[in-house]
Amino acid sequence: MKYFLSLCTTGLIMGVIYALMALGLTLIFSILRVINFAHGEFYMLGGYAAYYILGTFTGLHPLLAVPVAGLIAALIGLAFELVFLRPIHQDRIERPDEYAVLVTFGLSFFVMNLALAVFGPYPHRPPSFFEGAVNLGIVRVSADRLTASALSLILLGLLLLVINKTWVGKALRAVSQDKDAAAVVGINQLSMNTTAFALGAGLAGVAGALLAPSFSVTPDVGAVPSTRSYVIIVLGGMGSIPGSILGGVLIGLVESLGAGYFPDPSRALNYKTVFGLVIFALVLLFRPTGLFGREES
Amino acid sequence: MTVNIPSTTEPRPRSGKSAKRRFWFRTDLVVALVALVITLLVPLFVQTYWLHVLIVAYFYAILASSWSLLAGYGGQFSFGHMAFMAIGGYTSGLLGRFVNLPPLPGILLGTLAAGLAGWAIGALCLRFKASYLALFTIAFSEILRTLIRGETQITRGDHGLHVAPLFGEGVISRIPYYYTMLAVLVACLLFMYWLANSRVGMFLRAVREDEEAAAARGVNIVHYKVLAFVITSMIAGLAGGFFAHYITILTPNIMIIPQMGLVIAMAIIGGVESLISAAFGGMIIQIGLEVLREFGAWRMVIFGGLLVITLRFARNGLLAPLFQRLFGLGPRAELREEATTDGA
Amino acid sequence: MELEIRDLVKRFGGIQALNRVSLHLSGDELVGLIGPNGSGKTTLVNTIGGIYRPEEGKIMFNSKDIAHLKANEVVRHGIGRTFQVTRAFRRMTVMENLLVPALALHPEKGRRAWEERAREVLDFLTMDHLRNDYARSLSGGQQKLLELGQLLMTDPDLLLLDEPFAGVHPKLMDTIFEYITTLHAQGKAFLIISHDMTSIFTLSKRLVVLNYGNIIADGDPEVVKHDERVIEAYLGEED
Repeated sequence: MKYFLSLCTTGLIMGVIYALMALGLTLIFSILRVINFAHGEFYMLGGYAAYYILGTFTGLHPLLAVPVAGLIAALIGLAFELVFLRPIHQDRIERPDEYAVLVTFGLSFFVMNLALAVFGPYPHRPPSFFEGAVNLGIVRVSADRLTASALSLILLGLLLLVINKTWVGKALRAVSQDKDAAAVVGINQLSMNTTAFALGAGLAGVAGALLAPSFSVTPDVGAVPSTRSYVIIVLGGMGSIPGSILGGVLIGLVESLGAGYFPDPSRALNYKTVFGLVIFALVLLFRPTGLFGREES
Repeated sequence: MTVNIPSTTEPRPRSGKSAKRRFWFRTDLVVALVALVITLLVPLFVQTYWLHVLIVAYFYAILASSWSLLAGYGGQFSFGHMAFMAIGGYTSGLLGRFVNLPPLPGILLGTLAAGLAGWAIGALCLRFKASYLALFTIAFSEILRTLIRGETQITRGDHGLHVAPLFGEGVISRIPYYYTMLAVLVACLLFMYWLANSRVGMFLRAVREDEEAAAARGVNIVHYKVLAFVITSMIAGLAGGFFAHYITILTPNIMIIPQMGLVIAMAIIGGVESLISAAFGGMIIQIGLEVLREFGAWRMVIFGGLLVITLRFARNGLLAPLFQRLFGLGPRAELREEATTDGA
Repeated sequence: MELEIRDLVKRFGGIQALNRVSLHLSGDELVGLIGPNGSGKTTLVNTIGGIYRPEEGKIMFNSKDIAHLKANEVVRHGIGRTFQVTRAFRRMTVMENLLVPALALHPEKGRRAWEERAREVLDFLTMDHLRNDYARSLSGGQQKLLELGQLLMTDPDLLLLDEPFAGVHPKLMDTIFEYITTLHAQGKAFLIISHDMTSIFTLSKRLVVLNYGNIIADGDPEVVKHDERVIEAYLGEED
């Protein structure tokens, strides 16, 4: 029982962080109707940004690098959206659906290889937020991971507040529900698109910066979180904010319990991935709107 | 969607942009013949190393062109192509390992296995729009790769599965392999070209243009969408089979997503709606990777950048317009002109 | 030709687009289908045509139940339809646009034979000179004619036309009119959706009026014109 609870705790801790990144993907999907196949790369860029910021400004407390890393990721996202995605909504792109898939995938390909060329294949690890581990009663968690999780939780809360209470948040929700109606009341779709993409990329970057001290960064570090984010938003419901948060936590639990209880530890890691992917494929086939999602128009 | 603009003038006879293929017919043939002769004579002039590069280049050309048939022609942008290739290779390799099946029947069965998988995936993906199709086929590919990687007792996983060489252990020359891969490439290209210009190709294009309208005009869209998957997956499987029996060792790394990305880049940079442009995209990029070896990791950065830029500013590809201008080659040549001026 | 629709129900989420619609067409009737916007006219055509599946009800065509057939199968049974907003295959030539339905339904006849037939059809529509042009380069009206040409290639017994006159130049209007009357004289049946009251009153001897998914009138145009429920339905909508 204690083992179960400890697994659940670690699952929840990681799940919150997964939720943050998945939320970014959901925002992008619900506003732009585009799946950002480069989401994992923004996560990776966030991690590298944190590393190099702290490498340059050595006196800085590692926590301060996180928002900056997020901002850098957001700016890169903004630039990409303006050049490559905005034309879609200006009706300048033929067959926009396939274009969106290909161009975000192309970005992923480009950025990952760029990181490989610039930073090299070896892992980089920014300094810890806080040293050591913390005793949470049933389980011992590294201070870094706990910090990352706590910050993610705070950030999630802030985001929910922004989305529900501020004008920008309401504008985003309006666009996600009915972009024509939103346009009629004067909400500029193009600005909302850019905002949403930048915000989504920024969230992925923050997640990357938060987890970099725990897991280190390599150019391909974004691949697994990327796939995980797809699984989460498909499970939770594409375009559903509560869905992606719950989905994130759920996946965190599933991964933790799955790895913990799998009979053959040498293959546990492998099958954890397969299990998640199979569920993902099945949900796509049978319930593409996920657990909470809305019907695609 | 077509916007119904009221016609304000009388319809007058216009010649418009009509198919000019007949005029260039002879040049087509001459160029193709010359290219063929060159490729046939290459082994006389190059070292073994470059033979290897070309063999790999032909392999990628088959993958890129078959992917372009499914995606560019049929409109189904699948990310599972490398998985079908791997099914072809691993089926043959495993049959060779466990029942000592010789390479050629192995390749045949590998091709059929890939076709079967293509049929299943094609049927499952029928209702998927672009992003869902991408997600699902990525999942399929990754599930397969993880299984191959995990079941090391069967597949030897990352250690690598030893596959019997096509021409036996005694033959160390690459020349027979060169001609084999070239023959497979030419055969596949001829077949796909024939298919694209047949009524199957016409129906595929109609389905891509407007699925609902195609159905309303009697086209069995289920049949043709699945057919596109089956045919292209079989070609990928065939390529995988021959390649496996050339490099003689298979690991799941042949089907990682970045590899799929490379094939996609090849097809798109070449020209995703033209089989021959995609094939050349594959060859040129693969050869380019060798030529630019000293650039190391920057090679992929260059091609990645080219991919994104081509998508945004030269949607029909970089080679396709060139082929069109020089030879009037490739289907839909006239459309390319239109499409690039359409604000893309 | 016999089309029997009985108690057809089509729902979209909470909306009842077709509410127990019953309709009977036989022989070579030319029926006009009118009604305010959103009354379900296109939904009815889509359901007959196989794009939508009805939740309840029967659609019998020449004694066969076609309610649950896919669109391409419905075409095979002898029903052709056009779309409100033209949906020709834009990046294919005019000739190819005509060959697709022909070869899809009767591949055995061979491409050459169908190309000849296609040219006959194009002559009838005075579009033969455009046969190698891409559909996207045609004007809106010409694309409408092209769609009608596609129907001709499959030689249906019943033609469902969705707003054939919408946004069409008067000269082309004549061609479309001629198309309909010629084919009607050859014994083909029509169900035509139109907002163009003049045309529809001229063409049809029977008018069916749909409102909110219900048939509220069915009969002689003159009678229907003065039916108070019909007037109310139209007055109720913003003109």
